[in-house]
Amino acid sequence: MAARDLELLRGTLDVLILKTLSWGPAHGYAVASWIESVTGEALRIEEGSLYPALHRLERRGWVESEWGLSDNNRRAKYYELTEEGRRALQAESNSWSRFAEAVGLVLAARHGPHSVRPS
Amino acid sequence: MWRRIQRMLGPDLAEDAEDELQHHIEQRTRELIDRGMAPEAAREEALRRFGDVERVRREVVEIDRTVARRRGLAAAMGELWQDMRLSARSMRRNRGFAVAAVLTLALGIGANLAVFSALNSVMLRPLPFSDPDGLVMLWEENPERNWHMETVAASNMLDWRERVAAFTDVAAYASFDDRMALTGEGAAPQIVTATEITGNFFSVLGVAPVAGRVFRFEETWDDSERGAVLSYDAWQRSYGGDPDAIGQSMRLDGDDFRVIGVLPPNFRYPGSAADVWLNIGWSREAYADPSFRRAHWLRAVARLAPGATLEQAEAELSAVANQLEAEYPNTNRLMGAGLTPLQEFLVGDVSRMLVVVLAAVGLLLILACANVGNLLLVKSLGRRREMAVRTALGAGRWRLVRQTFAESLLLSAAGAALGLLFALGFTRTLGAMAGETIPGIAAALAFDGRFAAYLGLVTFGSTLVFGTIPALVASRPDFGDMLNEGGRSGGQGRGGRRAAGTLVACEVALALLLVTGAALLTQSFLQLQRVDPGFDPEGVLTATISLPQARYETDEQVVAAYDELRSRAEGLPGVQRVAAVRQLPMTSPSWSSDFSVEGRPPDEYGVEVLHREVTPGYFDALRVPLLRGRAITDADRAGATPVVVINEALADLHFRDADPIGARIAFSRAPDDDATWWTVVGVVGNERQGSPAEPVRTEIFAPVAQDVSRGMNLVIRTAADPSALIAPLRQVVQDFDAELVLDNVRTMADVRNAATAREEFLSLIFGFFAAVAIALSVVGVYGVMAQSIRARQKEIGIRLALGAARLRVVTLLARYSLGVVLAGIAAGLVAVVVSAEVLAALLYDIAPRDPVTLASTALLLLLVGLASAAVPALRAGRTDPAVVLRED
Repeated sequence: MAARDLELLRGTLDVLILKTLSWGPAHGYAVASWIESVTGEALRIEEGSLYPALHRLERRGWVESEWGLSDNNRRAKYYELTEEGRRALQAESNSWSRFAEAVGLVLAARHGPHSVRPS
Repeated sequence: MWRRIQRMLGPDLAEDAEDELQHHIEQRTRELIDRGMAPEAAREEALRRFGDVERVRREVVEIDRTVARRRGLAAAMGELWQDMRLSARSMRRNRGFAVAAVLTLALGIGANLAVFSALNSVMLRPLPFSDPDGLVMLWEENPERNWHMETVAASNMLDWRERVAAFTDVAAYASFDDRMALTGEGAAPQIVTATEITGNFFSVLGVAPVAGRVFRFEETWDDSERGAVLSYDAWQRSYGGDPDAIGQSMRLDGDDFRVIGVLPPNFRYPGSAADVWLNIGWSREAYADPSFRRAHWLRAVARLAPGATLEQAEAELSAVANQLEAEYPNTNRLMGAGLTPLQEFLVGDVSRMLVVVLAAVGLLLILACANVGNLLLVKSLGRRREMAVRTALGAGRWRLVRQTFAESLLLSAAGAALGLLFALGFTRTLGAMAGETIPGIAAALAFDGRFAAYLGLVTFGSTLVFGTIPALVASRPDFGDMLNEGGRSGGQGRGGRRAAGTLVACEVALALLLVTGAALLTQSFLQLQRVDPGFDPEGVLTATISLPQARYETDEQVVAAYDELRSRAEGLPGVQRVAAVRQLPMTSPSWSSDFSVEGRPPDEYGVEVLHREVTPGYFDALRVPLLRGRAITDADRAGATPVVVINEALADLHFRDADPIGARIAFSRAPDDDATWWTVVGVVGNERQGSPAEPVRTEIFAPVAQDVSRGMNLVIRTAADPSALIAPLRQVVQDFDAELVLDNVRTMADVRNAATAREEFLSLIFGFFAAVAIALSVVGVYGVMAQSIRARQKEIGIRLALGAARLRVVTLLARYSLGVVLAGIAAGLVAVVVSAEVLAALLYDIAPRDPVTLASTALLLLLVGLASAAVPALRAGRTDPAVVLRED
């Protein structure tokens, strides 16, 4: 199960992070916790994989980071969505919705492929 | 500490990643503990959930590294841009300041660029020959004759060519140019400059023609056709660049030459203005003639053999010179030879002068920078409260320093841009001022890699010079005090005042250095101008004329032609006397020979007596005083007793107590039976033969009728303005012989001035620099004084209110400025004493550390300094205490 989740997550982790950050700046742990709590642990990710994803997003210019102090006064790195990131999130979530819709249509189909009559 | 510095330079990626990941694990652990897990187990669970920490860390660092690489430069540029924009905004707010600073810098940078461009075009650009480093100039020297780097004798040069193995080849060219009339089929008639060369001249230089061919060595001799190689310009001018010009015959002063080739457009030979190069055409027999070893008139250029060093070549050359001395004791007594790299020989002299000018203009730029630094300092002190506030709000000190530097860089960049424009104008002025004293000086800015590098150097160099002190002030940690100071005046504080004082002292020191240089060079120039030339240059017109062999074949024809020309010119209105002389005084010494006086022992002879051939009336026309005997007259003709007039120097040196009149002399060290004996008939006053800086040399004057010369200089004394005679004189010559060329038409006063043109140029340019330097330091002293007074306005007000005498207040204020000025003068004097030798070679009859000059310039700067401090001090003394005290 975990391995298959990961496969799925590879493509979607970025969207999840962007969505998380759309609520405001957060450090990596907060992002992980939020995803965990919202999905109700259905999507258990290997927490370490979050960080390469964050740094890759930063490299693409979708998020920015800044060092700050966390609630318990520890040095922590905060990530914030950039304008570009916000647009990317918009685009990604739209295509996600269409994708999910398409998959939903396929799964809900009543006729198999053979019921189509050859001409 | 180390980590802080590192962080300033850039983030430590590995450490940041570690911090970030550890933060996550700690948070998770804490959360698990809060949920009731045991600490040990919680940490283990957190690590398990995280996965491979090490792998993630490596991955993250790798990603960040590509980011850092990609963004490093862009980020730096971005920040710089941001700083620049901030600076530009701040400049707009202080428009007066910005204009003053940029103008000051532009003047300094522009002057530097112009001088560097000149130096670049004259000295640094390699000669357009193949492998110019392998070329050397060969010269002769002779202690008995006071010769050093002298022109060489033809036979000696040909023997070096045969015998010195360290030379691949040796070529020669005439040390003087000829001005000739060019006519002939297909050519536009005009006057050209011609230089005679040995056949191998261009092959030694390694110059290939763009059309036709160059000479071969064999064409050195007169059994080959006389040919001409044209400069590219002459080809364009005379033949319109027609390739068919090759092979055509052209006439120079009536003689025929075959055009054989054209030189490339970039060909130039420093110091030469030759339009055509002619093969020299020596007869093979003449090679053995003693006159070919006696007459020194060639410049010899050699190419070093591959692998041969300068030392090696010099040693071999000396050895051959010694052989020749043994073989030809008559002509080569004490005759040594030496060599100098060609470029150094041709442009070394001018380059050294330009280096001095560049040094001076560099000092001027530093002075300008000090001034701008001062302005910036005053401004940054005024902004200390702003800076302090920004520091307190968390702006890093580094950031503030960077900001001040960005401002400085912006100023420099603007200064450099405007300076480039100024340099365009300066270059033209410099070229016009330098004229012929700097042969090869480019009339336009020479843009190339070196120029660009220099532009970068002065721009960033200036930024560093004037940007450092304000940046240091910005980084000073005493800003906290500023916040508590409460004054709205932006008081200077001790550190700032010391910095400003130092800058102004530097300005005064630099100004002293430049003013001293200018004073020394000007005195040297005036000294030279005061040198008695031995003749009266006012009211005399001169022109060069040469009678071509083709139409004036015999001596009688030449003499008759000069007689006729003189009598016709004497008929012009206002003309008092017309004469001709082979070589004008105060140009360069004429040819020379040995001589013996009749009846003296054989070991008593003279060397290096100069010869000038004159027509009757020469001494009259130039007002050279006749001291004894008679001058040369029309009776001194061919066939009559050969006579000479000698100059006073010769009479003093060789006749001391005896009366020279009636003595007979021969121009040989050991006269044989065939020798001609010349009778001394008169003694005239000394004329300066060359530069007034050189001593008068012994000289004889022979009648041109008895010692014929085809090329002469007319000297025409007139009661009117000599330049008004130019057109009538041309007409006279034209009427006499339409093919004759009248050249170098100028007044004798111009000739005299040309002899000191270099000194005049240097004293003018240094005088200008000195004036600018003084102006800049006046501004500097005034500025620092005014600023310190503004800072102490309240104190002054209180003192005055308490009844202090105004004079006391003024002196109190002036004391500080006086200290600064005195410190600058002291430093400047030390600098002058240390650097004096730089100028020594350029000075005539004045010591580079001349105490009177030093004392006067020091006094001058002291007065200037005090005067510029006095104005604000006096104004402060008039302060109304009530106004000042109410201000706060």
